[in-house]
Amino acid sequence: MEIGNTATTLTGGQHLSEYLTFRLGNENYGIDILKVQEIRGYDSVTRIANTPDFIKGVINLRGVIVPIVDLRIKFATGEATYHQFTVVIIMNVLSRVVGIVVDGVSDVVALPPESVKPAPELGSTLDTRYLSGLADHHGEMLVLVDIEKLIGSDELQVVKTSH
Amino acid sequence: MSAKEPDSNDLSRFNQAFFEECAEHLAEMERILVSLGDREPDRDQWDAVFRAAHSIKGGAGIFGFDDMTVVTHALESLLDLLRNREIPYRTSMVDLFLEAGDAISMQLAGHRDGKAVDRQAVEAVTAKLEQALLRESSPRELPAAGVTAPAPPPSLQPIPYRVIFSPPADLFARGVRIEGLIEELSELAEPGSFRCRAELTGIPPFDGLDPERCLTRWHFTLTTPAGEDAIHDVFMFAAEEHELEVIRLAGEEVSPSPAIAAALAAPPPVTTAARERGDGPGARPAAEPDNSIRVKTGKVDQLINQVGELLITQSMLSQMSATLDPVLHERLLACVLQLERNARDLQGSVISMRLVPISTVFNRFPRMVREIAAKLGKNVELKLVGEGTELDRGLIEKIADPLSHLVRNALDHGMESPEERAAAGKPATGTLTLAASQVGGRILIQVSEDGRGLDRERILAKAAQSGIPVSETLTDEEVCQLIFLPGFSTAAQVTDLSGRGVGMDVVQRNVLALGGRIQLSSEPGKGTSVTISLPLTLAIVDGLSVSVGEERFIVPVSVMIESLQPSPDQLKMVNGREVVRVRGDYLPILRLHQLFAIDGAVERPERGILMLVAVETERVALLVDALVDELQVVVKSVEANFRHVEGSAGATILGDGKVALILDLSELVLMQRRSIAEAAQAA
Repeated sequence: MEIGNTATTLTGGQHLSEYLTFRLGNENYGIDILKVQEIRGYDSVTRIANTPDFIKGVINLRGVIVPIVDLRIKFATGEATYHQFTVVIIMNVLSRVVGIVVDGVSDVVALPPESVKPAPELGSTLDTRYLSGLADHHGEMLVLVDIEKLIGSDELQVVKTSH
Repeated sequence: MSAKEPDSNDLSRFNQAFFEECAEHLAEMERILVSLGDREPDRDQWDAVFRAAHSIKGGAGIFGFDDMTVVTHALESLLDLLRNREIPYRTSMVDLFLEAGDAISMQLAGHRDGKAVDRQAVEAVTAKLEQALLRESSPRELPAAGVTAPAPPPSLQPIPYRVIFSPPADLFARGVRIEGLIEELSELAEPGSFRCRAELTGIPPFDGLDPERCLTRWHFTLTTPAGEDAIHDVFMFAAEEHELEVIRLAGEEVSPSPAIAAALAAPPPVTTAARERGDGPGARPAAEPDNSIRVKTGKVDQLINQVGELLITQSMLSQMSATLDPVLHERLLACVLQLERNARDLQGSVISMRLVPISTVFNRFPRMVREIAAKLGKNVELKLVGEGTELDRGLIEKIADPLSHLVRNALDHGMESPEERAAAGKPATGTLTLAASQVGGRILIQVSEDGRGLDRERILAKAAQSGIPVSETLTDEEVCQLIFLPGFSTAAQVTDLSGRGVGMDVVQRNVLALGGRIQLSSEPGKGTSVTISLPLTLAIVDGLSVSVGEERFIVPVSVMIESLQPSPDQLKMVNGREVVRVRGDYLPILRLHQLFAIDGAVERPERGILMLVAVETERVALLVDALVDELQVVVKSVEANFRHVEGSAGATILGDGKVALILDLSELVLMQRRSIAEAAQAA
């Protein structure tokens, strides 16, 4: 579970990391695909009292109770609507199963490490603390998220409360 | 402190096996010793105790826990003499053995958990054992069978064996040292009879040689009176069964009659005494027919989870099929019904896997009672009833402490001294009974003694003194309840056993946390009895599902007293707090919709339902919209993937697949208090 980025060895001996890319509003984000357990539609959640509004609640994922975080609300990337195309990415991070709501999953891309540039201080809705870098993918900017740091942060209140 | 091998996880895996076995041997030893009372142990019991000590020593030696071998060696030597009746048995020895057992446990804990080891105590015990050994064995100048040294023990014909040990290549990686094995084996052998030959097989060319791999096969021949099992014991931790071959050579002298052959199969020496009694062969419960397997608890829990899943799916099916036309879908509906039955049965079986007999807790009490009674100078007989009663493993672990506390209390406060008992016309020896039984879906555990009973006047006086408002008009039952209040203790003097004022309130809190209830009844002069009632398992809760707005919650039935729809004149305000008047009592109202910020819920209590629930020592009324259903729910952890949700004791999955929180009333009361305090501060 605690494996780093995927290392795909090509014939040239070059290591590529694979990322699942998704959209939050107008921005494209990528997360380490090894952390992704599954992708599913947005189902009704059970609200948990006294939590911030970006914690939508918990769902029953085949008998396991899984919290659902709406990153669109957390990072205010436009209106968070829920319809049949709303996607939840279920991830395995920090030995926990957590779901994040995003606007849509786009692709799986393999990136050589040298194409990942350090994230600048500004330029993304997400705090640089939670970013592992920026990459250019077919002319579009891809923001790579360090999902482990993000989920584990006090700010998200998934692992523990802030009070 | 220890010669623990410095390296590798690999070794620690084996260490773990040793620790487990060692703990089992210690428990077995203690169980036998304590069960003796004043009787002299019989041959079987001696053998069992000896075997336990011997196995611990063997294992400790192999794993390099040398400190443990020192104590066990002394213990083993003494036991060996005792079981062969070479020295007389004294009842006082039991205490010494128990002490030695404690010392070994302490060392074990030291190696396993890194706990501190009181080395002085260990040395003291070792010295005592050695003294006993000297004292008892020296006057016995004329040994029965003309043997001089205590080991190797006498009376059996030495038999020649060939031992072939074909270790796997990774032998050294397991931390086995071959020279230690050879040395131990040679000690078994008659002087001069030990031969050892190494056979090298499949030696690779020199540049391919891996010095960490064992390529040797060993042939030993030896003549020993100790028997085949002793040889196997030497290799206990080093060899798998198929790696060791022990062949008895057609010896010159022996004509193996079946009786002798069986006796030879027994652990090291069997005395003539034992054989005369004709139970030589039976003396050893040879490889007991073991019809159980060890399974990791995680696997059982997983199975329980999966069955829980199945039940949820099944109840979804039931719900959906309920809307179908019963005439058109008769067969389908019959199948759904059948599925429900099967799923319930399956759930029952799976849950029973987690159940263990309560004897695992009860077993600790004979010794504890014996020691405490001795300390207090009281004569107490302990009776255990219903030790076979089974309950959830998780509960077993958590109920042990409260029970110990109750037993201590009973002995210290309840039980009188022999003089006092005689004066009251009671037999000098008091009886403490621990009884367990299953009643419906609950387990009842009762701790009762025939002591002096609760002293009403003293409790009332003490309560008044501690500032608890009391009146003479309280019923006996209410007086009993007083002792569950925090800081209450009536012991005339504080002893080191109990009476420090942390007591029954802690016991009660622990029991409540397990979804249990505690009750106390007492009759002056006749005794006191405390009954704990526990759910059968922690994995399933009997609950009422209630609705608040659009949301649903589960209230554990164990805290429920009653539910009612109040009339407006029952509702009052006291100090700005809402209360409801129920038969003369005023109970504070807890608004679930407020605590959980739920919109669209019933806000006027007379329109909804007030559930009266018992929370620790108080009662509160919980306002919900409606009661929906009574059901058994599988408890799921929320914290596994999320943080703790205040006010909940886990969650469950309802028939429609949705998650519902199981309410923790104590936490809700705390939340209520905090919100009142915050409101007061704001004002």
